[in-house]
Amino acid sequence: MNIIETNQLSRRYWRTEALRELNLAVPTGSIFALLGANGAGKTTAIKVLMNLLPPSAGTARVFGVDSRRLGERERAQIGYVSENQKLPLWMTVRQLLDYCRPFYPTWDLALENKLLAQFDLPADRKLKHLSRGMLMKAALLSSLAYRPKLLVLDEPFSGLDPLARDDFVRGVLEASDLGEWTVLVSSHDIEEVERLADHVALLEAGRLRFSETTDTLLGRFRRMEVVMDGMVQSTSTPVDWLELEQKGCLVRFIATRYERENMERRCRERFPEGAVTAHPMTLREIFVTLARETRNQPKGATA
Amino acid sequence: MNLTWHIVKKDLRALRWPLLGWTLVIIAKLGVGVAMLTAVGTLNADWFANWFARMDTFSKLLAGLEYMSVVLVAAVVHEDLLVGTTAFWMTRPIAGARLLRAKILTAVLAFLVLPVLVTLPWWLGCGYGLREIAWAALETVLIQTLCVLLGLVCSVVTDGLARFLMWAVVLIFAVPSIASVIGVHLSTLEVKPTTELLLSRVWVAIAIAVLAILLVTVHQFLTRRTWRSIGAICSAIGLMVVTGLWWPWDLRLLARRDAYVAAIMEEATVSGELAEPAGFKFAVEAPRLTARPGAPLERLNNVQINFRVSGVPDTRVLLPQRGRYTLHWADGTTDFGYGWIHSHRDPLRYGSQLMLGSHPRATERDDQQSFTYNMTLPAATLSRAHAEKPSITVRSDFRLLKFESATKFPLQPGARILTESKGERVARVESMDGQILVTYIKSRPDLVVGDKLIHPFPQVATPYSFFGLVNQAAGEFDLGRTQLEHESRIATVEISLQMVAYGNKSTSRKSALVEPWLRDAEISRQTFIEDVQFSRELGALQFPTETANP
Repeated sequence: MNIIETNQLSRRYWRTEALRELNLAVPTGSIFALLGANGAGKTTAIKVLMNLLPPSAGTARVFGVDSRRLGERERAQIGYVSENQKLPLWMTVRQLLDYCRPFYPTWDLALENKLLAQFDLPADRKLKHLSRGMLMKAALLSSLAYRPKLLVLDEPFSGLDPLARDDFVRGVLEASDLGEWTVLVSSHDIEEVERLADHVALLEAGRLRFSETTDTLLGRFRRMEVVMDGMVQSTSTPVDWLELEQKGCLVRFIATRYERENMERRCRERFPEGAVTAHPMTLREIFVTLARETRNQPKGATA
Repeated sequence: MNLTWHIVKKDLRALRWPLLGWTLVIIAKLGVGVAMLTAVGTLNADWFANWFARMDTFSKLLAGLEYMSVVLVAAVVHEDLLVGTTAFWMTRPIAGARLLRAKILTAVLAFLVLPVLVTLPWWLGCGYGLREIAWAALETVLIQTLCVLLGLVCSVVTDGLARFLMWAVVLIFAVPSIASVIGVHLSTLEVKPTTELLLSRVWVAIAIAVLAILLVTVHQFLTRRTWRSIGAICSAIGLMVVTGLWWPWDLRLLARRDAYVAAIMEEATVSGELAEPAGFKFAVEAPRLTARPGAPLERLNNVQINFRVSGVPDTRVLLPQRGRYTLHWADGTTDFGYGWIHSHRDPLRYGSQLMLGSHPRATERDDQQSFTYNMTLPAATLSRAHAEKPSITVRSDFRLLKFESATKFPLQPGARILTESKGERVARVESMDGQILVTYIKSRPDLVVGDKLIHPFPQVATPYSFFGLVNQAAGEFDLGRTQLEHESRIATVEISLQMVAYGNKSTSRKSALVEPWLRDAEISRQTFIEDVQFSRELGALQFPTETANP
């Protein structure tokens, strides 16, 4: 069961195509990370999902409802935190919560107080006097206290110092223990996402590169090293081996479809004398590898 | 509805300081009015007159600041931006329709109800009745509605104050400029559109503008498709231009308005001669063709009818109102219109003579009053009348005023006398060169909207009163000469300063009016009330063949 589904979703800004035929499915209960470089279309995708922008083509469904028809009932189940959102800065934290509360029938006052204490937010301070990290936490609090079924975080870590990021991520993680909800987070801050996400999708130039669970992704990427006795003969590169480099008797590459036995077999076929070692990669390394590969490809080509 | 009110409360809270400032501007303006009404001139007369003029300027400045509500409307709308994708409300369970309802409620409360409530004590203090308050409130609401509409159209398609101000200024200058260009173009046409047609075009264009503003506002709140809204605004402006240039249908608005006013006048007309006191005799002279005062003599388009009324009791004065004329054409059709009647017996002079308790020393016989009825005919009617010589009937309303009271005051500044919605007081008295200079401050309703509906005959809408200087013992009085007048208008109330000199040596009665006559004089306020009102037809008269100079 998917809480979000898009079908051939496209969005144009005049002549620029920000989203191209995006087919995305966010499973209910997942913490889904939408990754991509700047301008990849992450924020546009989220804005279309939230009906902040109409799609140019295709459809997006949230809770099974067309995103263009999201009403008060659906929005009461969605929490949204964005780096760009303009909060009513003249309000204090308490006033913000007081203002938001009546709109949500499921608002949990006990949870509000618990999060307020947990986030260490000064309730009587005006939002305009809060630091950026505090502000994001206030926004998160106002989006969590009603136990939304879907929490959408659009670049929530931008501009936050490491401590604030840590607080924020911890807040989301701890809050996620409080209820059954789905989190859709868009970011290019991979380390933080890695701590959160169990599903990952990568957007490149408005297109979906892949969408899978984090475990699968981390499992299929390996940094491979093959140490030879002598100099390596140049050989053709399989398409699923990236960044192949040869230095003396050392061959390095990144396997994108790693499977231990299969990979060892394929390595032995090419490097019969070599000693093969496979190193797990972080999400960040995978992201950088893919981004580099995309950059090196001729314009218009897709991986 | 609770959630809508919740948003309203949030908006009012967010804008409480600007709204408070705006309210203080209104209060300050009314405060200026109170200062003008209650002022006591302690320094010399010139200083006092200048002070009044300065206060008038200040009140106008404050009244101008009231139009800052245009910007406040934008602040209300921009509290929850409709443009862009970053507004807080957009991701919350707040539907566009709910937000629209909330903003309308906020605007109504802050910009329509609030100024009326703040001004209410002022109107009550000026003696306004319920009907006058209703019309004054309507006028306030209409002016503020225009501000709200202008603020709305610019704020719903902008994302901040800077852009709002830019577009508001563009609109404020562009619309009159376009209208001027259209006006110049129309004036160069061979066949110029009639005034009626031009008026129709103006009103249709205004209707398009109002509809477009409402449409754009609703559309933007419900869909947030800004470019489409901007397109609608541009289309509306284009449609207004097309209307100004080519709208072909004459809606006959002037004719309708005249008919409407005529109907009101008819309604206000006293029915039948039954009310006419017994013993009144009307002697009507033949009509004469004259030129209107100030008009070239060759333009004889004014028909003058002199008539006398005898049998008027010497304790009464007959005050004529506007008279309705009817031209009866040979083919059985009629044309009608209104003219004014000038009375040769001035109630002012009549009353002043009554001050002394003596009979009026009028130039006329005591029981007789003379009147002149003036009716100005449109050119087309006039030429037809010359050719066809229609018969004329004139029906006029008369009010018989009865002297009610003479209240005497010492020659010094005093309290305000409020008679219904008309206020009067002596603000300053100065003795100077053998004359007394008295400054009166007066107030009366000055309603733009509905004035005709409340007072078809404004002259006698409230009891007729005036001030004079009298020395009962010496048997002398003086009506004085107005030296200076200055008028101001604050929240539908006209406040006037009138400086009157009594006992000027240049008068024919100078020997009696100089000191010590003035020293023992008092100010006397004469009040007349309506005794009887009646309507009278002056009879069928023939259209004049001879002309006469006015």
